[in-house]
Amino acid sequence: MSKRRMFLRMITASLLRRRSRMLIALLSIGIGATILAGLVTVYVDVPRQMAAQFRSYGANMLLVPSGSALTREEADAAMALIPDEERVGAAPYRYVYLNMVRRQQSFAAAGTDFEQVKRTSPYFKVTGRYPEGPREVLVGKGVADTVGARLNGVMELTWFPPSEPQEDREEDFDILPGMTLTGRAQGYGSREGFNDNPVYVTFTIGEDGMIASLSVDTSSETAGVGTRCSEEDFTALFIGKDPKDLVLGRDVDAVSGATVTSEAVVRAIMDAKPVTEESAVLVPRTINYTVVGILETGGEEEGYIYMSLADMGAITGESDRLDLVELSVSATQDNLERYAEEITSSGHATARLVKRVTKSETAVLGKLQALVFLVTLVVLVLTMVSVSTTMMAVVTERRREIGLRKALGASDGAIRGEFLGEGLFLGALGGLLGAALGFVFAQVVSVNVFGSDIRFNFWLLPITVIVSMAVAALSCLLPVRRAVAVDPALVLKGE
Amino acid sequence: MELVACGLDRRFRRNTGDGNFFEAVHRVDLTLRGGEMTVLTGRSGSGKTTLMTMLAGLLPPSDGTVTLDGKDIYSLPDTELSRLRARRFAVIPQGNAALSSMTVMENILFPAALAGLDPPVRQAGTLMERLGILRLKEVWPGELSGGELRRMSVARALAAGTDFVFADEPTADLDDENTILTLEILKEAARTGKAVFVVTHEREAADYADVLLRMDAGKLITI
Repeated sequence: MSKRRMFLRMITASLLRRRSRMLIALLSIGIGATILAGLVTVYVDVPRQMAAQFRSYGANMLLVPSGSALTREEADAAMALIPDEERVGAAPYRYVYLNMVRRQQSFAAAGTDFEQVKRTSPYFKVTGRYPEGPREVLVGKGVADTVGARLNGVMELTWFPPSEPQEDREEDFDILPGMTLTGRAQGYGSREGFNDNPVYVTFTIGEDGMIASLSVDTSSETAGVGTRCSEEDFTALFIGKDPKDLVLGRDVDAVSGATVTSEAVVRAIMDAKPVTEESAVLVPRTINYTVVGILETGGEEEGYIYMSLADMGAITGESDRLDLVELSVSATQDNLERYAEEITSSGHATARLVKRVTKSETAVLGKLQALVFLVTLVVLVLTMVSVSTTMMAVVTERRREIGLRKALGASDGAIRGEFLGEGLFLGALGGLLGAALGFVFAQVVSVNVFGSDIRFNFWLLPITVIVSMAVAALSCLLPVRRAVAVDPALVLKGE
Repeated sequence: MELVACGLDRRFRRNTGDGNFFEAVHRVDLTLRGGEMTVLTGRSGSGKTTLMTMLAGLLPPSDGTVTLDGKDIYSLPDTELSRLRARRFAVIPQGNAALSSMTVMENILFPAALAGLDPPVRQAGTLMERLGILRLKEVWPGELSGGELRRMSVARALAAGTDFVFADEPTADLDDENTILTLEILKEAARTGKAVFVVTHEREAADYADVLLRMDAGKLITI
């Protein structure tokens, strides 16, 4: 039996022959190592998990127009600067106001891509379903409550063109037979500040250069009062009149009680311009939509009506323009900032980070780090106390044997080596056990807290084993000192 | 090869009320030589074991020196003193002196392993056979009787091939037959050149002694 084999034999034999004590020590180290490995695994994996979690709280980057408008091409070019695998979702938005004429109310409407919305806004709670076909809308709960919209109900929405562009076109033209002209003027509703929508007129010129037909859109005016100006009783009065020279009271009489609207009709005709391809779209459009879903978020999204970008294009006549792209990017804070900078400097769009989410992400991680560190430290100290106590009991129990070993020629170094060897062996075994159990522990925590599997870090195995061995060795210091101090003479006293 | 004790004194602190110290061994001069079997007798508490413990390098004396090869063994550092204990001294302690985590055979080979020597398997086998414990070589000490444990201790002390053998009551738990056998084996060891030091109450031991000593109240008397 060689010296080394004898040494190994001494360690393993005494471990095996004192199973209960050693099991307690092993258990202590194992539990310590389990907590260590488990917490560190959770800690290491948490940023990834948390990133995914926070991602589910919404977009973390916004693209807004850097100039006047953001086109689809510009948005695509901007998004190409972010690696595909990190782009979790990209929801484009186009916002306009749409009106429910009968209720004299306007609502914010958003055109978007619902497949992407599901990714960037996974917290959206939809009763019913997301719109899939044309003329389907998802209505925010706030809007639905206000107007009493119901699932599968019909919602009539009117789009009024913005008032700016026409004013820009100051060009001379002659009124020619067969021409169609449109015009508009502020009526009662807009003058009183109820809405921004004017009274629209469309008329044709006959062979005599006079008005041949006239239709008036008073949908923004007070129902039953101003709206009477679009009835034929009133519009018929204009037939055969000179569109360039109209005076209310001389050429036509005002609708009683709706003088302001009647005046607006006259002004709209006097200011009318010929219909060109461009101005043709600048006519209010009313479309009936089916409500397929009611959206609940608890936030401002409940005040919107959502439809597909195609439907939005159909009602506004603009299909290319976007106001905002919400991006969900799975990247670290540093990378996010870099992407945002690159996009903004590319000139395609201006990228903004949603600070609220990313900052709290960092803050939570910092606190978690401190917590993991503290708990691990406390557990390791407890482990140390427990192992130390157990080893102390072992030394006391084996005092006579230690004395005998010394009497037979074991040096202090050999005694120290034996007990430290035992400790290190326990540490290694406990560390291995702990690494395995720790992974299970982390997996359970992960599944329960984050609802997803955890990734095993292989470098954690040697670290756990080394830390366990270090803790075990430290725990053995005091017991080893006591073992070395045993007096070999006590053996001969026959104690 | 001589182990020379000179003016050995050992006092123990004791709360007796009158004096603070109990003097177990008083001014002992003694020389152990190779080839001699020295037998020490005396009444219980006369200081026999304390003297042996000091000679075996296990208890530093309060006064005096134990010299081997011209060196005071208690002036050596622990590593050298323990090497001395492993390579040159062997002890047969009183009572149960087994390492419970090793088998009988491993117990017997253990001192050689500590000394960094090849395991004396053959000598161990021969001794165990003579002492009638060969069949117990793979048994754990916990399963042995007192007499078997004693014989294991004897085999362990002699198998190692050390120069000095210190035996404290080596025949305490043995029957007459085994007592004679053990004393004969010890005597043989002395004949092969070892210095054998036996502390005993056994009357027969005197017949085997080359040097017979008696202790009385810590003082050594040569007979």
